[in-house]
Amino acid sequence: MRFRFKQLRYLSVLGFLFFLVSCSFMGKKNGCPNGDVVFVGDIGDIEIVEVSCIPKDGILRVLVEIKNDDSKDRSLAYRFDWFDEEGVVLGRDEAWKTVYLYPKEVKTIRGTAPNWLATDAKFLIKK
Amino acid sequence: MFQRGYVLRVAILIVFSMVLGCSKSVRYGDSKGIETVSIEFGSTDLQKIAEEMTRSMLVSQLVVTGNRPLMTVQDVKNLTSEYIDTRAITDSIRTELARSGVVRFVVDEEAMAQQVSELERQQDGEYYNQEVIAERGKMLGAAYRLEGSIRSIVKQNSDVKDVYYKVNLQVWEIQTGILEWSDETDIRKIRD
Repeated sequence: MRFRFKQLRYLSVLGFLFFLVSCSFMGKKNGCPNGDVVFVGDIGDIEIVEVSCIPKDGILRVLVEIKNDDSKDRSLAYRFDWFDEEGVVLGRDEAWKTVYLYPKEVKTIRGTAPNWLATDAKFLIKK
Repeated sequence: MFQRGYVLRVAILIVFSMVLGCSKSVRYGDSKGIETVSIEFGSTDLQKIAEEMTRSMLVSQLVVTGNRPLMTVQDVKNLTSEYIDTRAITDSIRTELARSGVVRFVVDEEAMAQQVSELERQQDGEYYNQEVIAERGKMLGAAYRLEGSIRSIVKQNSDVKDVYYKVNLQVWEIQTGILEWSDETDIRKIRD
């Protein structure tokens, strides 16, 4: 019985560590119902620091703070998917856009919804 | 000494492999993907400009008031040294703004001849029910006009070519001449 309690303690510590690791990996989300971040393939040492959704004047705006943890310059492609309150994707696919990051640089990528129906967004990033 | 049949087979094989080597396959690509076939202005640049400018206008005071202003589109002047179909830029911006429902567009200069022709056809024709034809003098004039320019700076040496594009768009109130909205975006492409 005592052994089981010890196991439980280990498990809860492990669970807490896993929670911390996953939080630091995905970054913080502010104001986004889901605010998902999707890595399309391996993008290397890129960290999503924070995702913020700011509805203003009826239009949803998303700020994604990304950091290049690599020691080399990185050029990445990104785009947003926009969803209405029922989770249906809005409009056509956005074009992939490029972002250039110097080593250790932190940059904020801004996205604006295509119309006032958008209540949630997904951020996609790839090499 | 090789046999004649053997030589013929080798020759056919060589010709066949040459034909295969020369043929190029065709495939569909991602129309929204990053295009880097050449350094010239391309689809990725067009899409980036249209999207950034439209989204910028969407959050401007010009449209957030909800009045759905009437706008007309004038051409984006191409001040670069290369050929760019700038009409594609304004068409994309107009389409996305119209789809968002925050702005209404009236007939622009380019489409005016067709508009007038259709009006006259209805007015003068004896084939139309005169009670429901489009009347002259009912068209609405735009309150705002959208115009802009694209410029480039090109630097080149024997190893590197660097092209910098700058796109500027403005919305002017026609009656007062006030600049109601303006934004710019830039693109830098390097070939080395």
